[in-house]
Formats: sequence, structure tokens, C-alpha cells
Amino acid sequence: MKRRGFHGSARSTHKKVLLMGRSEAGKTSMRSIIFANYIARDTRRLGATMDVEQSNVRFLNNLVLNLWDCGGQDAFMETFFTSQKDVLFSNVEVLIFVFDVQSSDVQKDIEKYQSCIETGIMKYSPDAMIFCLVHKMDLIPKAQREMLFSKRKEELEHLSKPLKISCYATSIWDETLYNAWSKIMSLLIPNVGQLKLKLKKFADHINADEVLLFEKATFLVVAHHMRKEHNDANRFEKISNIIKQFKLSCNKMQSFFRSIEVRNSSFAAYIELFTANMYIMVVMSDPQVCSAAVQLNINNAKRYFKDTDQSGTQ
Amino acid sequence: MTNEVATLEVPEWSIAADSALKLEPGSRQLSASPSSASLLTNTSSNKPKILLMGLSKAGKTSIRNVIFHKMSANETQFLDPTHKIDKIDISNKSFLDFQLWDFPGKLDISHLRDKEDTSTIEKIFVEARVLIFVIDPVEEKHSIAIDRLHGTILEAYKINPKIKFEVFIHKSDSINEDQKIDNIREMTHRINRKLMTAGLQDRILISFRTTSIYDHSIFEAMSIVCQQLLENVLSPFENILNAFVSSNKMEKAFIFDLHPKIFIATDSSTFDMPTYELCCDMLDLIADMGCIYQEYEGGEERGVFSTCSVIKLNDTLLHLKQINRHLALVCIQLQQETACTQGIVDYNFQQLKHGIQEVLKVANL
Repeated sequence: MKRRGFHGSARSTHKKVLLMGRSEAGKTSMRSIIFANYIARDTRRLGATMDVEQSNVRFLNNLVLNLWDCGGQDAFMETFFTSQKDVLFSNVEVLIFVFDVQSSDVQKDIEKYQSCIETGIMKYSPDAMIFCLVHKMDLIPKAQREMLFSKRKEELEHLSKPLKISCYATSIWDETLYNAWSKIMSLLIPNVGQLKLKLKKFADHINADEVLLFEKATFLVVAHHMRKEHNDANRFEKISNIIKQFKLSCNKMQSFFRSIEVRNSSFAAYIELFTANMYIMVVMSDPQVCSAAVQLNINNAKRYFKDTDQSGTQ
Repeated sequence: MTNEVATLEVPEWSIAADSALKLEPGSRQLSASPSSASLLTNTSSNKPKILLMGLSKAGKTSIRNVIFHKMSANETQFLDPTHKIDKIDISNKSFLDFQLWDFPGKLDISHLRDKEDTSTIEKIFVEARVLIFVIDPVEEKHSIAIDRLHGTILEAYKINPKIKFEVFIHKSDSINEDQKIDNIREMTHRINRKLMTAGLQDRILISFRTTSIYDHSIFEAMSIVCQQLLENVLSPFENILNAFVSSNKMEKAFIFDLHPKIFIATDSSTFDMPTYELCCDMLDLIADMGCIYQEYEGGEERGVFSTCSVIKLNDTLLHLKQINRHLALVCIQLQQETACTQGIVDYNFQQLKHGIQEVLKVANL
């Protein structure tokens, strides 16, 4: 449900996200790591989700995710497709279906997925965005991962016709989790185009190699602009992962970090709290530029981004 | 790096140029006594050795991989058991220069003695400086582990009475603090009782530590073990760090060996585990970011080792400054002590770097 703002005051956009999949696929683990500051090892303690666990997660200033973590045990899934289906599947903005890549009964997974799509989404929320996550990829030897994922992706895309879906391979033990969720979140943010334009202007102005914006609590990449080619296409999610781990360590000591500066002879990276809800990362490779200058520029840019952060009505 | 800022007010507590970190008179004597220098001469045949022993599945190879080969802790479950003695040379990516011998769990030294294989036993223990015995504190294996430890200690002591013994009570991540202390107390008691029968309990010193690869305790334990290989330089390093900490009003300073995240020296203020963990996490972050952005021309080929980093937490500042290829200074400063003193810190750091390099030169490291 979207709400319009009145007289320029900010109203949050609420978006409903369904997290579904069979039992032990990893849905609650994912959600806990991304939104609840769990480290991967802590997720071992999680028990089975009973029925549906709803939570509201604020993302940036103007987006509230209404996250429905649906228990995967067969008994619950039965009710989802019968008595609860109208409550569950109406007004869905995003459906995330999680597949355990090492599932013992792939056929059943597919059946459940098909029921979701046919009896649920197509009927009650035909415009919903659909994401399929092939999870627990760390249990597959590296050499086989790409092939296995492509096969699954093809199969799922075929099954979901005529709806369009996006597929990602994920694991809680590396940065692939952040990749998938960053992509999902960036499609939900109301004013991301405006953010990107401003970011480009800023990057050009200060001659930065890259500029990234992260959401403050989850450290998912919200927007980025790069002015220089780089080999590693997965670096954004790696950085999300790295910084998030450091943030969690600081939390253990009841601290939080305000800024990080790392430099050596070939690059300098600055990560700073930028607005009330975002961190910025600036990467420069010109060794002549001193850190005080970059920090001054970042400080001065804050007020231009503050406006974007707080308006964002649609 | 920074070439702005004109006049620097020099507060009275900074180190003035001429009275800067001079090496204590004691450390100069390193060059005078040939015997101490030769302890550190590292020709490839007689590098100091650290032995890693214990029962099967105690965690020896995991420890080795997590610390020295940057394996993440959860990947160690896929490691195969060790079948023969693995001799690893650490000096490749690390400041520390020694050989680590990882023993298969099945190898029982006292059996070798029974088979009269004395030359093998000798080869193992001669030139060994530290023997680390790893114990998995699962109840059933306790007595077997203690027996094996007892046998090993006796054999080692026969060949080389100067070996230091360290016992790592491993896999302690799921145990709370009180239980850890109990474990240590129990182990100490049992081993000492056994040694008493051989009449050796006064002459053999064993240290017990609880460790785990899932937190930083294994790094701290290994740091203390490795420092025993560097006895000659520890004191001058500590003096230098003390001078640095007091003149810059730092809370704590460490000299870290970057690759294995082991600290080889620290100042005399109390060691605090959470602070150490924060420093290790900072090292992880910097190393990972360095890997990603490394490809913007390698500075390392040009022999320039200038990584530095400042992390501002809510009330403290963490500094990292690289000293040479393998070593870096990590120090912690309280927020209220900073106030425009970046230049002073940088200057004092140059003095520290110079001091460390002098010590290393004298010690032939």
C-alpha cells in the first residue's frame, strides 16, 4: 500500500515482502543476518518458524518493509494455499522463494513453488516481483556451482512463465547473500534514480573512482557510481559483508563506528556516516589528494543528500 | 601524505626531536653478546621449531590453517586428517621465522621409544623451542590425552630440557568463563600429579590456555607462544611502545604481524581481550579492502609499505600504520585526547618505525 505525502511532509511507503520456501531452506537465517545483526554462526540456534512471522523493517527513511517470513513445514504450507491464501497473497510487492540447493526432494520444492505462483501470486498479486534464491551454495564444490545454478535458473524461469523472475545463488557464508538482497532492496526504494544522479554529480566533482551509498543498519548497497573500470564485479557485496562484520564486532563492544579511512600507496577509501540513514564510501586512487580534502568534500555534500533522504514521496 | 598545515603547536607532552625514542642502553648490548645473536640466526637447516601435537581430531591442523593460511573457521570441517608430519615454513608471508611441525594424531612418541626409534625422536625434539599440545576437552578422551601428554613431555624433556610446553584446551567457544577456569585447574592438577611420579613437576613449566578457532582466543594464545621465539627483541620493543603510548596518550599499542594477525609486542598496560579483538577485526577489514582495491598498481613491488588507517568509533580512535612488509603498529586513543594532534602522532610514529628497524637490524632479523 502506498501513501501519498501531504504538504511536503514525508510519509513512508509500505511494501509487503513474502519470504517463502520449504522447511529449513534458510529463510529465517537470511532475514536474521540481513536485518537483525546475526552473524552466520548464530543462525544455528534458530528454530523452525511457526506459521507466519511478520516484522516491520524500516529501510532508509522512507521505506518500511512488511516482511512475512512464512514457515516452511508442510502443515503450514497447506494452510497458506487454502484458508489463508487471500490474506497471504494480496498486495504483495515482492515474493522471495528460497530453494535449498541440496534439498532431498527437489520435485516437492518445485511443486510448492508452482502452487505459490499459480494459486497465490497470479491470482491475488499478479504485478509482484519474484525472486528465486538458490541457497546454501557453500555446500556445493566451487567447480560445480555455476553449472548447477544455471540449470536451476533455466528450470525455474521456464516454470514461471508468463511471469518474469530473477534468480540468485546465495549462501550465508559469503557475500552472495548481500548481492541478492541489495538487488532486491534497490528495486523497492522509491527515489533511487534521484539518488544515483546526485551521486554521479558528486563523484565527478571530487574526481572519485567510485562512490557507494549503504543503508545504515543492513549495509546493503543502495546506489553506486563508478568512474573507473574495475575487475571485480562482485566487490560491492564483498564490501557490504566486510563492513557489516566489522560493525557487528563493534556492536559486541557496545561501540559503533563513525568513519573508516584506509589508504596505501595505490588507493584511499573513506567510509563515513553520511545522512541519518546512509553511509557513504568514496574510493580515490590519486595519491596527491590528501584525506582532509576528501573529508571536507564529503561533509559539504551531506546537506544535498539529506533532502533526498527525507522526501522521497511518490 | 599531508602537506598542508603550517605551524604546529608542540604540546609539552610530545617527544622533542633530539630526545626522541632512543633505544634503551640494554638493547644496544644485543650486538655485543654473540650467543644471543646466534639464537636468532636462521639458516634454513636450524630454524627454530614449534611442534603441534595432540590426539586425532583435537584441532591441530585447523589451528594451523586458520592462523597461518587464512582459512575461515567453518571451512576447517572439510580438512582431511593429517597422515604424516607436515613441516611448514612460516617465514614466507610472515615476520616470524620458524618451522611449524604439524603431527598426525596417531603418532605417539612413547611408541617410537618402544620401537627404539631414537633417531626420529631426537630429530623431532632437538631445536624445538615450544611444544603445543592441543586437547579436545570431550570428557571421554580426557585420560587418553593426559597420558599422551605425559608421555610426550617425558620424551621431550629427555632430549631437550629447554623446551617450553603449552597446552591448548581447545574448542572452548561454547563454554562459559567459569567452566574454562575449571578446565584449566583440573588439567593442571592432573598433569602435575603425573609428573610428580617422575619427580619432574618442579622443573617443567607448562602453560594452559583455553582456545577456539571461532573467536580470537587462538590468535592470542599463538601470539604469546610466538613471542617466546623473539625473546631478545621483546624488551626493546616494549620500551619503544611504552614511550610511544605515554607521549601520545594512547590507551594501548600493539605491533602486529599482519598476515597471521599475531601480535609480537605490546606496551605494559593491561591486556584486554575485547581491545585485542577489535584490533584483529580492524586488521581483517583493512586486509580485505586492500585485496579488493589492490589492483590499482601494486605499491608493494616498489618496496613501499605504507598502509595506514584511522577508524573513529564513538569514543575512541584506532590507528594502524605499517612499519615494514610484515609488521604494523596498531594503537588506540581516546577521543578527547586527539584534538589536532595527527601531525604529532605521525612524527612520533616515524621515530618508532626508525627505532623498530634499528632493533631488527641489530638482532639480524
